[in-house]
Amino acid sequence: MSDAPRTVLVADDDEDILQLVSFRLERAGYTVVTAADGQQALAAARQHQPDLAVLDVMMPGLNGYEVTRQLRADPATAAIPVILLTARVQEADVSRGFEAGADDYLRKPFSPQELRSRVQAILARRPSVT
Amino acid sequence: MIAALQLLGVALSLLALATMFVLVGRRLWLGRVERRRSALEQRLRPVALELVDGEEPELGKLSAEEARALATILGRYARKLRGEPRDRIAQFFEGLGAVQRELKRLRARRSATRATAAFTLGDMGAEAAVAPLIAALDDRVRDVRSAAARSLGMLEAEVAVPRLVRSLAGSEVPRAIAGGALLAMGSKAAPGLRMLLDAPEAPVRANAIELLGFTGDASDADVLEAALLEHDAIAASQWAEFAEVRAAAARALGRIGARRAAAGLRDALNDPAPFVRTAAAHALGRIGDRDAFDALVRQAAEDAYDPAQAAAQALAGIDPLRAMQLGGGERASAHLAEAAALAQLELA
Repeated sequence: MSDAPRTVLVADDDEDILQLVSFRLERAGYTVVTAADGQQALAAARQHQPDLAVLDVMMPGLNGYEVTRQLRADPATAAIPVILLTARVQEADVSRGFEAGADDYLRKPFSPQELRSRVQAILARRPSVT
Repeated sequence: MIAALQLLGVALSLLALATMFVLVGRRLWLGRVERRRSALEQRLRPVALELVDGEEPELGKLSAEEARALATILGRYARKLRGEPRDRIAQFFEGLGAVQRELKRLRARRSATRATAAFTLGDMGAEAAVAPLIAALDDRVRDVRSAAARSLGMLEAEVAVPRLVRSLAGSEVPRAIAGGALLAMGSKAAPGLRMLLDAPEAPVRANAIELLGFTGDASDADVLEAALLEHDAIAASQWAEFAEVRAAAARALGRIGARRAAAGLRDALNDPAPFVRTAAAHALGRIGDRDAFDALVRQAAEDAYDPAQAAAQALAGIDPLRAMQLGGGERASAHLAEAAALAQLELA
């Protein structure tokens, strides 16, 4: 496993969420790449090959489910673990996220500490892909 | 006469010119204010992020303008955070004396001031605001009541659950706002909702049951099933009101996914109120109750539009293969054909 800092892609159309998530993850030692919508998230995932992606569900253009599905469909990005950030907490929405291939989900409003713990837990189970 | 008209023309031109200057000047001034605000936010954002993260940034002596800008950023962050970061934001505002100031504004004469204060107190996350916000649910102005309801949801104020449900049932607050506030509390709202299941007013019971479907758990199945059998009012010719309780119970049972309530839901397919039959069919579809299949086929073939459509959807979910066989023939009713089409999608 490499000692280089692991890269996390954070995609959300809400600038405040991007700042809050990026700040917490950077403080925890990760390199953070941000995207403001689904298309940018896909492009950034292909370009940076992050170790994990945190995706908002309700993004303009491509939503989080669709981005997850497209990441899974592309062999180059299929192994990237995904955490969905969602304001929708109904059972059907959660199962929709898992069906799309997400590894975990986090409810908004969120706790940055909880997000960091989930990121750490998922990355601890996986070797670095970069 | 001509000279007077010329003078009037010149005066009007000057007035138009002056108005244009004022408008351009105002626009430039607003642009400058916005750039200044944006620059200030940019400068204070790292401080706000450190504060939220539990670090102790060097704040120094903030000017009133800087304190306002920092409060704006933190207020925005507070809407998106929960747990310790939110508590830190609340402490910051309390330390600044802002909570006391807003509590005072909540008693202002102008309703717009009261509404803004009620809204801001939610963003500040101040526990001290819970009781005054509950009192604000009795405000004579709807906007103030709505802002108070929204903020009580943000504060996850369990103690406000009964009053919020009554506001919802009495349409004192828009449904989306009161319901949203209760849903924002998640499972924390469930104990307060359970306490309302015996409320004498049917609309209060119906709303509590409906919300329990989102926030409760399988342990609520029995009480919800009992609510499903509220027959008394049918005899009293007030069945429509009580039927709302039964429909809410059916929806809640479906959401909770209580299989043991399937028998009660099957009985509810015979309810006199069509919207109860609709809710029961949807719930049975969600639970995936195979024993309800034949009754749902009858409902899809013979009932009114809504219950029949709900039955078709349930059939496609419960047993897609059988639904396709039943609805595939030329003589199948419209809703059985719909069930077959939906089943085909299910299997695709």
